[in-house]
Amino acid sequence: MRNACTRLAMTASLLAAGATMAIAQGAGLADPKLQASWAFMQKEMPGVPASLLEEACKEGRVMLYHGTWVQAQDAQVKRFQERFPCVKVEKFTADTGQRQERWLAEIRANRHVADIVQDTDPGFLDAQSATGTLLEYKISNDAAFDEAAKRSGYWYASRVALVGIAWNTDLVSDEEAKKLLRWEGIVDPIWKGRAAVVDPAAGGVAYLPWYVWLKQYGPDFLQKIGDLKPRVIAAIVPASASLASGDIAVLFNASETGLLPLLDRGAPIRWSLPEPGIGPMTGQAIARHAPHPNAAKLFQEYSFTEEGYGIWQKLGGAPARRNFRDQRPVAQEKWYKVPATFAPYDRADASTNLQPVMDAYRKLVARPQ
Amino acid sequence: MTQTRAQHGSFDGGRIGGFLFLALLLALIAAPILYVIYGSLRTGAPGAADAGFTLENWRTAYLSSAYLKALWNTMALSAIVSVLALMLGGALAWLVARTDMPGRTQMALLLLVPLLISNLITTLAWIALAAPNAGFLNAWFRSMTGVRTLFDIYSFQGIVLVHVLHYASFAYLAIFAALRSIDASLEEASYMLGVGPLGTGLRMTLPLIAPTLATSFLIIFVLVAENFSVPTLLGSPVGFHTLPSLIYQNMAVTPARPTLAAAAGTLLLWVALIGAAIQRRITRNASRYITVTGKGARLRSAKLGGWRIPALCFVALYLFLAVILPYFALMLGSFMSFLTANIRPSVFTLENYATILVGDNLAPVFNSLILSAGGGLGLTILYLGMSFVLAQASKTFARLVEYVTILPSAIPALILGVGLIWTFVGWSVPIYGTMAILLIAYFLRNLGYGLRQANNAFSQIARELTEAARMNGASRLRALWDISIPLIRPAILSLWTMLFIFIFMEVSATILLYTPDTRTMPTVLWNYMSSGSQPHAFAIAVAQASLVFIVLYLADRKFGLLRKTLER
Repeated sequence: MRNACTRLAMTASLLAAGATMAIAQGAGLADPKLQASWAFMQKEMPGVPASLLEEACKEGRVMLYHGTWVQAQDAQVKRFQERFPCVKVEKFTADTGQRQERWLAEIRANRHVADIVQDTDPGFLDAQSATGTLLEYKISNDAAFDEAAKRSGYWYASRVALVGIAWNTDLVSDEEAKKLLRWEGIVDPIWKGRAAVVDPAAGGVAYLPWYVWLKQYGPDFLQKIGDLKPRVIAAIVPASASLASGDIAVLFNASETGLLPLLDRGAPIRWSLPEPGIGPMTGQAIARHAPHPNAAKLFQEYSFTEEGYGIWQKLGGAPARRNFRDQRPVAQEKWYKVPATFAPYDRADASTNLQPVMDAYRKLVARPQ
Repeated sequence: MTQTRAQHGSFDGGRIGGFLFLALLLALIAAPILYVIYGSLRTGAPGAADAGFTLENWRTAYLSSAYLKALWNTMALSAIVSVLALMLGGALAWLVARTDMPGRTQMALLLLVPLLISNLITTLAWIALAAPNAGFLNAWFRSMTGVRTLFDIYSFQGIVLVHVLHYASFAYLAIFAALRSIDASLEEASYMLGVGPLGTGLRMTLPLIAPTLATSFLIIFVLVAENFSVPTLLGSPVGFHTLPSLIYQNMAVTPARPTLAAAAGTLLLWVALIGAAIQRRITRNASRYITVTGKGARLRSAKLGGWRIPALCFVALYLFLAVILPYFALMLGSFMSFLTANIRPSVFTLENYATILVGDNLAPVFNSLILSAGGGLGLTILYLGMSFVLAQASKTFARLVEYVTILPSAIPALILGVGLIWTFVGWSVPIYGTMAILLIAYFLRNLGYGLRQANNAFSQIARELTEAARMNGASRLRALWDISIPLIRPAILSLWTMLFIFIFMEVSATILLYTPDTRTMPTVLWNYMSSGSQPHAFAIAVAQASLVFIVLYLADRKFGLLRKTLER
């Protein structure tokens, strides 16, 4: 009994000491304006010291190299700056290949501009973490991400960019649409002359389904797609717009992130996310030589808090964080179903096989003139 | 250019200064091109630790069937578009400049409007209009006649249509100015010898404007050859790829292949050099085309008689296709939630404009205006300066420089942007990440056009005018300032106006080089576009074109800018 009382007293003392330290850390903040920021950090970034906030505020800015998901990023940045008014977020937006080339050219020249980098190719981020261009920093919410959705201490996934089969509900009947709940359904002859595909040369999300289809179903599957004479569209965005306008009835390799803004605006579209799911992660990391390392750590921490993650994810794509409630309105729709399993793929293998996949696509699907 | 060349053999301080200035600019031109060529010979981008030399990129670009086919497509498309644009632009210019067609004064300005929308946006507007199943035009035509498709924009013809409608306006501007500035006494002599309007036009007028036609052909050819947005968006559905489409793809795939893209970019350099050689051959004897002399002569207008109204209808039809239809699609689309031919009240919204009219977007507007107006003026002076200094140089050197200066215009802007990053990212001088690198990009992008326009302006001044000033004791610079500049003032305003428009619309290189402080309107538009929000992008395009038009209109009211552009 006495031992139990002793243990209880010790635990209580430790808890009290911890609480006192935490209060002392917060109370020690030089700027009283930071109290609200610190209170938020204590709630959503457990274990992150107040000194990070103070140092981030001294740096005063953070430069973000992000992709073309402007609305999601803007929403998150706006809220971050409300939470941390002492840190100004600056942004550079470009397509993946161009963004990568600019960032790498800066690194090679020892001119360090970017603090935070995002990429739709986790293989690229893996490679960069191996070559030492990313800063090793384990976020306080590291445990909320499965191994597939992070390289612990380097990058964490902002989303899964799901690929599905999309159709225009004015042009495809409910009965016909049932065929589109499975990948095998896209090679049905009823889609001849009505369907489109996005050229895998558009890269990223447009490429991955071709890689998976070729691996999973073989060249014959691509041949059957080619037999349907689908319209080839150069990029995800115009393909989604063509579907919404009714110029095409079905899009075989649609990106959910291209479709969501159109659905939100009332376009007559639906999509399925067949098993096995296809969806590359979009990752975010801190540059090794970030000119504002503390501000970068603070932004990285914020991006993966419940709040920061939710704001981005609501507009940016399906959540990659474990047990995270999907914030998107579409997730409440009865027809919407996220796949239970995902097609296994090796990120490095997908990059290495780019040319063979492109060659098969050009031979079997595209119709050069 | 010929008025002073070889006129003075001795070197003086001004001349040395001029050549230093020229050497600096040539270094600026050569550096990114050499970096692109260097990069194309590497296994990785310049500076990459594990990269080595290779010929593999060149082998792929120069020997693989896909690239050779794309090269052929590029050449064929560029040639067809250039010829058609010159024919259409020439016809429009002749009708407005040299005939008694009714309404020609109003038409003269309206014919510039197609240049106020970028190729990318024009393409998207035409997709909204003429997509085979849901384009506004095709849907309307189907409802009226039952015929499914009036015109399918996803075709080679569609690519040609979009390009020709755009570049006819470009050709019109150049030819209009040439037609207004030719020596009327030569035509008058032809008429007095009993030659009719057609014979005079073919045997007298056409040869007189040959340098303008050759230069315009070259510039249009090069601009079409380096354009990626039109063939990529409209050609993919029919498997039609040009070199810039493949280059774009090399930059879009992951991992990106900038070194292969650079090698493919060098193919276009050869295309540009061949074009420049042809243009050089046509304009070799520039003195044959001197049209501004000390003697004045009144231009004679051709009487169209019964063809006046059909001529007006022809110009109106062009304006309908090149201006009214795409602007209608843009305007309509900018008020829609998403683009659809199924038009109903629920698809209309003001949200697109509400979103773009926020404080955050004011800085890009300001930057665009500063870069276009200030930068445009600066580049005009640079091009004129280059032309003036080149006029003092030996013919061989001048010819060499003329070839070199077409090269930056021929490299696809995306690759030029990469070349500029490779060149300047390591410099400690504050160029990278500032407005300076954007201005350098614009200088290079417009060099082929700008220098040739400056050369044309100088070449139209008779040597006798500056010689008279020199004989009265004026220095070379004084003669330039007192004689040449006032005479070519309209040409200067014309060049400035065009550079203002080109810089305001430029996005392909800017998107790689901008920073948060140097965002421009086209980068905002591009980012909306890439994020999947075409209606927002359309709203910005409408705002952008309107802003450019208002600025030009006000400048015209105040300084007669457009009138002088057209009447130079």
